Amino acid sequence: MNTTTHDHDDTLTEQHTPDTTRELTTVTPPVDIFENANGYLLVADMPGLNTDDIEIDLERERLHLRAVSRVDGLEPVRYERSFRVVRGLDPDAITAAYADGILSVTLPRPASHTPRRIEVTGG
Amino acid sequence: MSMYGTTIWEDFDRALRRPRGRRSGQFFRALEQALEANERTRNARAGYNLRDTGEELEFVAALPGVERSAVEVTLERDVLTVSATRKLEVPGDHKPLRQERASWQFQRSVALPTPVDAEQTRATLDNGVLRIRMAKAPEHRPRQIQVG
Repeated sequence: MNTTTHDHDDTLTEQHTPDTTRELTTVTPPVDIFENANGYLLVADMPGLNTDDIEIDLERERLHLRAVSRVDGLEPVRYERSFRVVRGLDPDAITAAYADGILSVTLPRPASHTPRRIEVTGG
Repeated sequence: MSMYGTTIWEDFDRALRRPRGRRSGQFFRALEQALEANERTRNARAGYNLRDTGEELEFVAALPGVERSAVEVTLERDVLTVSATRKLEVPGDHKPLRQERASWQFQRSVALPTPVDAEQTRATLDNGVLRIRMAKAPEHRPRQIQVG
């Protein structure tokens, strides 16, 4: 229904953006973070998803994980987590996999952060 | 040195970063909200659900990271017992920076409200969700009575 009524002054009313998932409980999934020479591995418990439901965004130095899980027989939930990450991550180099209700995100170390051995040359 | 902040503090931090005018006096409310959210989070999908779908009883539990071989389902008389083990390990050459996920053992024994047919019980584990569907014993299934 799109009827608009103007029987009160609505200049001070807060603007509500339609949000169909508003009623969902937001779950902060537990996360493990690991590091190796190549970069970082982020592992999150997020049961009850299909890969299409998962959103991974890199926004400057913030990595956002978002997903809505609707599984017959379980309470629908919205998973949400965000992390501050190192500067200079290449968004195209980030990869993710989902299996057994676990999301794994691999973040390769930015080139400038890779430890580099500098050769000392004599002269 | 960790480059990641902790969640609860990030939520709290976010709450505090609201527009200036609204910020004053909101310190404790923000803290309260962050703690409440944390509590809700813990309980949202803990445990299991058992429901009656008419012809069947259905047991559903979120068990992320559990392999099929680590789940045991037994049905004895009208008691369903489910046990599952999750063992986490640090992958290969990695070193942990943060570990919030835990190894655990899930064990539940449920007295079923109606007798079920063990032969017609199926269990599936999909995307970390265990679902056990048990057909009710024939005399306990809903029957439609024709009006003569």
